[in-house]
Amino acid sequence: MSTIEKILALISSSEEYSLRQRMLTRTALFMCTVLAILSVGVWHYANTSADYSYDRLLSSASVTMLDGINVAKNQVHIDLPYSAFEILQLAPDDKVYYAIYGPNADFLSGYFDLPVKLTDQQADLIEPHYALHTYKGKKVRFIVRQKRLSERSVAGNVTIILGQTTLARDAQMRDTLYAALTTLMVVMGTALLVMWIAINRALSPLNWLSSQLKTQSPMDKQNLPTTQMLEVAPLTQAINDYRQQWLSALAAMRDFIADASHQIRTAQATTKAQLEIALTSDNEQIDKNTINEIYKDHTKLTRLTNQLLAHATIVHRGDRQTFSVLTMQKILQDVITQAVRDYAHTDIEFEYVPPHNDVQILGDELVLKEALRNVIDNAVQHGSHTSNTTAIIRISLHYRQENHQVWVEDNGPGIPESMMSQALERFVKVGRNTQGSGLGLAIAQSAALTHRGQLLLSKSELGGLAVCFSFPHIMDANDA
Amino acid sequence: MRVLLTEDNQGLAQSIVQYFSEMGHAIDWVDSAEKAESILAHDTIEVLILDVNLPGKSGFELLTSLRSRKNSIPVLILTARAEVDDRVSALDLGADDYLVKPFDLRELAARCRALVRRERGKSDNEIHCGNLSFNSATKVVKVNQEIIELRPREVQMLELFLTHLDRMLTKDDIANRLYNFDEAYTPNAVEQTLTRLRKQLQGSTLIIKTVRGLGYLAHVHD
Repeated sequence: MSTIEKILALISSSEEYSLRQRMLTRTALFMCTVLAILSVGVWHYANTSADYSYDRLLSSASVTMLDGINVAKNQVHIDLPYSAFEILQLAPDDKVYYAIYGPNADFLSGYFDLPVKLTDQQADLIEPHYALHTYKGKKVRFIVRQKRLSERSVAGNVTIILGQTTLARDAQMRDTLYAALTTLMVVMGTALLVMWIAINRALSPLNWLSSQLKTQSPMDKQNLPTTQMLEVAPLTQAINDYRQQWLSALAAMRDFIADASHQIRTAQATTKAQLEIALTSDNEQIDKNTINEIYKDHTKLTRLTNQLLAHATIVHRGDRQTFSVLTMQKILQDVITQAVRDYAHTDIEFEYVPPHNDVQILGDELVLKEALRNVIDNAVQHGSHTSNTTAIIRISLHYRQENHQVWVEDNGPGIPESMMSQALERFVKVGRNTQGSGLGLAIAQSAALTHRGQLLLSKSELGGLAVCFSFPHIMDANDA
Repeated sequence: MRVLLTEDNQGLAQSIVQYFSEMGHAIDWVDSAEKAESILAHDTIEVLILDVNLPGKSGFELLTSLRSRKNSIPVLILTARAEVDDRVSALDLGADDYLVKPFDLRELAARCRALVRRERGKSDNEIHCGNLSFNSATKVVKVNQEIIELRPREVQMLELFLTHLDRMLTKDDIANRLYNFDEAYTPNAVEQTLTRLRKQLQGSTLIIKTVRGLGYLAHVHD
């Protein structure tokens, strides 16, 4: 595996990683790529510019040399000017090779074995031609230039091939290349350094936050100190809000535990006291009425415990993952059947008003059944207990445009409207019958809330209390 | 009624044993699923009261192994767990009924009787519901040992209720059983038959409740 693959594997792995390291590595990788591309460009530029400068020397030298080729005595006369070599001496370490060919490509002077073939050239070369060849084991840059001789005796093109080794131009190319690359590297190094400082600076609020959080207890009511940094302010705000929510949930739980302990212990104290009285009584025979009282109180305690547990379960089953699509008619039929069975020995009359359309909601079947059962139990307890009227409990299901509603109504004395909001609170007992635990409606309300619904109390047309659960339609529940 | 109680809490078990014995039922008590299994292998038990939390093998495990061996003995599960799901899983595993602790002993006995009654009704002709008895072969109905005269439709209706105790029956369910296609009936006919039946059964422990909008439910209150 190549180094790049290793680095990429390291970057894409799902393990813990350092943000600083990752950002620096990525930036460095990016810069290296840019450097590589730029280097090719710089190399090309250095080559071109070196060629450009030294080709000019070759060109001038060849022009000067051609000037020294004339016709004298009906022959081609060559008198190479010294200035031509002066020009070429500007590259002092380089060697120069030349060859001169006459009009019919006859070799006239210089090296006859130069790698540039005259036949390669076009017959009429107006512009000079450059070529790079290896000659005598060295790189040699050649120029081919022609001059037209038009005398009566000699007419045609004389060609000069002038070559120069490339030591000087290579040196210039290297100088340009190195200078440019050094500058590039310095710039990139500086960029990385700036980046490193910037990352550290950007991460410093995180360190500040964690040090703040470490020094504070999670129960601390105090908020995190305000920060002047606009980007960090939303984070501290979010942490503060989260902590407040958690603290209020904790406070609610503490209240609940305190309330629950009070209720349970009071009920226990009652039965315990009754038992003690019965045990310490001088009478050897325990009065059956006393036992009956103890039994009644113990039954109340049992109901209280069950409801407390049911309440806790409902609140903690608020997790929506257990929700499924439920047909409310089926749930109501189950709950009513069970209630009718359990209250069969009483005179209570149950009524069910089915909906016109199918009612489906998204919810937790167990929670809903528990809640509905509690409301029905509540209606049984607080319903009509007079001898001349039959207690009626009417359960109806309605499909409404805005939501679904389940109504549980009774013909008992009901609750005065001023006390209705109070009745939903835990352990609050309203109305004449104060035998209940004061939890039934609280349980129902918790269940309604976990289903993103509502629980509303009103006066029933039957005369007693009307409890209305409203549940959102499935689509609304999904969107919420 | 022959009952086997599997319960590891001695205090609770003794109370249940005393209550059932005083009511004249034969009850045996074991404190582990393993012991219960060996008794079930040899003796004929009519109903098994099974606690979920037992030392060693749990009540659910015993229930599962019973049902996998096609043993159809009526099982009533006792559970004390707070999780509501426990009730559901008990019924899913093949329990016939469940009770959550703490419960009324009266309720426990009534539930056991209902289970035994259901089981006996499958094999015997004679169905006993508290002080009411019904012979499905001779169609004789007795309340407190006295024969009650009922019309054929009332007998049919009573038999339907006795075989569907604690279940909701719609008016259509009843009408379909009582009348064939050729007989025209008015919705009131069912109501009238029921009213007469209720009148005849006054003083019996069988209660037939009307739930408007839903149907009828018969329950034995003993």
